[in-house]
Amino acid sequence: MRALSLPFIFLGRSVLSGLHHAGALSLFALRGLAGTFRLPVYGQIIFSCLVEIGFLSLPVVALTAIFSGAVIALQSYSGFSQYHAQNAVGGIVVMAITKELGPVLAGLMVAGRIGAAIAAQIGAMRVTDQIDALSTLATDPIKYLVTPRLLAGILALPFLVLIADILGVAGGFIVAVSKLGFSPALYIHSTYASLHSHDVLVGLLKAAVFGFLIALLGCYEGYHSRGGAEGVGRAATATVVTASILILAFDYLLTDLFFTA
Amino acid sequence: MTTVPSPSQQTAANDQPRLRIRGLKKAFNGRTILNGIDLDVPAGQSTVIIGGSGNGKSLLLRCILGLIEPDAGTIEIDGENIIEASRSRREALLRRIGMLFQNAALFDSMSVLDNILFGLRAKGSDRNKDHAAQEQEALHLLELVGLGPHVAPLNPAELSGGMQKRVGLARALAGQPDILFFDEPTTGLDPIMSAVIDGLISNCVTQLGSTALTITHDMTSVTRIGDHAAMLYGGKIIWQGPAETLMNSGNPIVDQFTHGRLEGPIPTGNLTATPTDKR
Repeated sequence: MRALSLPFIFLGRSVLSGLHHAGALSLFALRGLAGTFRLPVYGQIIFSCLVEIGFLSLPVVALTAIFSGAVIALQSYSGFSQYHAQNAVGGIVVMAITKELGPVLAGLMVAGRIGAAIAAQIGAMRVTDQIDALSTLATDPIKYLVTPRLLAGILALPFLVLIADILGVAGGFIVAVSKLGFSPALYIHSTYASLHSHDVLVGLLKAAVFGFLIALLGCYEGYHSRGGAEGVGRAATATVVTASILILAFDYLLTDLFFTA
Repeated sequence: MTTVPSPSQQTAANDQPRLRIRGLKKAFNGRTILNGIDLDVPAGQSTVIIGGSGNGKSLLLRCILGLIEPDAGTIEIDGENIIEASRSRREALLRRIGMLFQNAALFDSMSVLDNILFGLRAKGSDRNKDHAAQEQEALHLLELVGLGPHVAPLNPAELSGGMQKRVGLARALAGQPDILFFDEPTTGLDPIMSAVIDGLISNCVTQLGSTALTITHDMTSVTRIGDHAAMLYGGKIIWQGPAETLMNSGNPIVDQFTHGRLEGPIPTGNLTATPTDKR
């Protein structure tokens, strides 16, 4: 009887643990966001986080976007040519990039690069008592460490995705014109015809949500890391894994909300 | 059974302690670490708490600093219960406190100078000073702990453990706090550097008039820096009195600990086998 109930015990404990973490993460996010409305404003830290998350992530996001656009152009051409619908390639590239691939791929790349870095940075501060030192210096660690990163995540990701959108479309254009024999004017016309401001704006909204999630998880995991260097490593890994899953889950939810109505 | 003098018996009735702790309790996962701590820390004097590893000394300090919320009890600074204080009031009280962590806890993303400037700005003591004046103040604090201006632009990782402790002390002294906490300040240091740090702590009390609370298990330090001493054992303060009587307290637990004896009421487990196992 006891053996039969074990799976249910495990399931119940897992659900309770998941709910506990979701609640703790939500409260942590609220505390971080509430810091926006309290003085002092750590403008210099927000700026350096913006540079770290936004500017320094540009190369990796740019390369990802260019190659993604190029691959979509190649793949859609090989598929559509069977139905003599090659002219749709420009439209497919711009829609795929602005609606999905721009925000999702930029989010995943930033999750790997920045999420882990935030978790490691704050985690190292936690295990070396630097966060406690902040408290003893009458400085709210949440406001000092978390709030600037949340704001920077929300602001930097849309900027990155906007550039990823442009470069992704450019990647498709280069392949289409140089390799697939498209007329530049025709390709640009096809792209413009399928480019909708709604798609771009929703993509940027997704990016802001992803930026928030990445920064939040990095801060949360780092802030609660325990057990020295090993604990910091676990926090970085957990951040990348959880952020990647949440990015895909929220991508589905936001797509369902904005594109299927 | 060991008798524990009441803190009120040890403090004159009209002499309010700077820090008063009553009935402080804290447990983790059902394991009680602090089980009713009663302690008075007299103003303008140096009190040292000793105790074995894992007995809750650092936890006690973290409770006092508001880093960990106790399960029960009161912690008063000049008669004000800091556990029930609002966030703004607690921050105001923290500005009166300086803390030196066991590993110095310097911000490794900042230079030594910026670490001290952070302390100065956080304590709000130099709001009206321009940047140059604040830098001068920071360099003066460095000088106070025996470090020259050449250290100022260095990263904390470039300093030795003893130098990091000194910088940590300089940061703790920023804003001239009237209460100073030291968490095992000499742990991991060589005897000479330990003496240097102890001397600096003594100076803080005698020259700056600060109230100091130090936790340590370094008996040499206790005699150097302590006016009063207390021993934490089994979650309680089992003995407190003048520091000079610590080594001859008459309390078997304190005597075993201070003299480092294996035999006595403090269980040592497998450790007791270590000397005889040497063949």
